[in-house]
Amino acid sequence: MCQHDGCPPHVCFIIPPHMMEHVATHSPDPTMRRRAMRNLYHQGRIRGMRESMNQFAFAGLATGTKRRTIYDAKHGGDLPGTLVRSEGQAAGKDVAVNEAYDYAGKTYDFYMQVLKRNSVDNKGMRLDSTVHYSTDYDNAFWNGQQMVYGDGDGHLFDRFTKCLDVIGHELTHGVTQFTAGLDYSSQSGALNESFSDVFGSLIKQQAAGDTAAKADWLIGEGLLIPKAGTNRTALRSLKAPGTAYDDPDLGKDPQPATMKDYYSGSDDNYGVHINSGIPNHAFYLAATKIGGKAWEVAGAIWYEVLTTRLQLWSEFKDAAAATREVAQKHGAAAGTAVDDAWKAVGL
Amino acid sequence: MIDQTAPPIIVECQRQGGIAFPMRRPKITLDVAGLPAEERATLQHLVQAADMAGQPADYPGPGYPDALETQLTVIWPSHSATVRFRDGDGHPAPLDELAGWVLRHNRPEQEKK
Ligand SMILES: [Zn+2]
Repeated sequence: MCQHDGCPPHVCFIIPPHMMEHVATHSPDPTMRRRAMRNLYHQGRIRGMRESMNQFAFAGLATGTKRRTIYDAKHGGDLPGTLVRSEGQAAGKDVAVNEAYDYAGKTYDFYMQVLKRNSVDNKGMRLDSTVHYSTDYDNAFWNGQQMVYGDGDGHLFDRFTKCLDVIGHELTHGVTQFTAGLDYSSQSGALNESFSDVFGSLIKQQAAGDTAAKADWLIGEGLLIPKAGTNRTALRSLKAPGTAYDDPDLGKDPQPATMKDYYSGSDDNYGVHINSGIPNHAFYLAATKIGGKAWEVAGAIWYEVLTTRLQLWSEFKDAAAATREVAQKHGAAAGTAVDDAWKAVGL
Repeated sequence: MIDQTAPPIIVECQRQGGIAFPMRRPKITLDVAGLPAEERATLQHLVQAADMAGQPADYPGPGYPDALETQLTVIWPSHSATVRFRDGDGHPAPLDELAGWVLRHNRPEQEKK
């Protein structure tokens, strides 16, 4: 074990970040690159130094240069897998590959055009995705450096590349990693999840040109395979948390909409996907009260808070206070809408 | 020294987390004695490949967003071994293969792939 003063048990950062960055971006060995990225991720998380991640210079690309690579895990567990499509290559026959490519592009475009952010790290980071991960795999996740998608089991879940908002959700985990760095547990983890749902939904709304009033405010609509007599609408609802599904196989959507029903158990990293319903609903209430297109004002407020006001251990009250404050910049009506929204969910 | 070549009597698998399914799912318990001979042989092969005795009780995971957490337990007549792992924590692929087989096996026959 490390004997350095100041290093937490089992964790030591003897290699300086700039060397690790070089390995992560230039090593010809994918295993070395992966290990270096993971170490950088740990350093950013454990030291709480958002700067160490923000300085991560992936490439000197011009702002707005999109770089997507899609890999195929061929139903195994090795990442990233076999390269099957790079930026600019034509679509092939594999639907999951095409969706991962197209939706990563729409997500990049949203961040670039709406929020003036150049990829997840704001330095043009390449967007890597692996599809066909594992077998019957009912999940998608962000591993600190790339997105990973399963094909679903074909019984409960369809392929996880199917929904633009799910891909936007995963990439927003990357944005959070490079900005607030919200720790993935308890309230900070629920905020991390909520920002991913909020921007996942906004990416979908912007692509469809929907106003806040017209949007469905669902995450993963169509991902659950329909079954007669059950409710398999979506994974989550920002409009009505707790109503997205109710099914003998899946159980009932456990999300609360307000602090009154706050989940205090230990499952799901102390409820990161459960209690996210509370800030999700606050965003929905604020955005619909403000009106118009939700990404223009409400989205701008939440983005400024994520990227400049929150940190590793921020809690709901911190997000509420920060969004209330930032909302004032957008006028009294926005300020009142945000204030009322948080009050309505008990914060 | 644990003899992992002996047939297991019970294999259990439980998952939680992931983007889609936050609550802890019911534990799947396979009673090996109730399986046809061919499936018993397949399971024993997967258990041996998983090398449960060589695994840590808990893979120290960085807690990647939306990672699924899996807990596998194999019970032999005289001992048992449990390992907990998450997506992206570097655990060996045979653990996923064993967990996947157990979860798939629990599904109604007409819904298995
Ligand atoms: Zn997530």
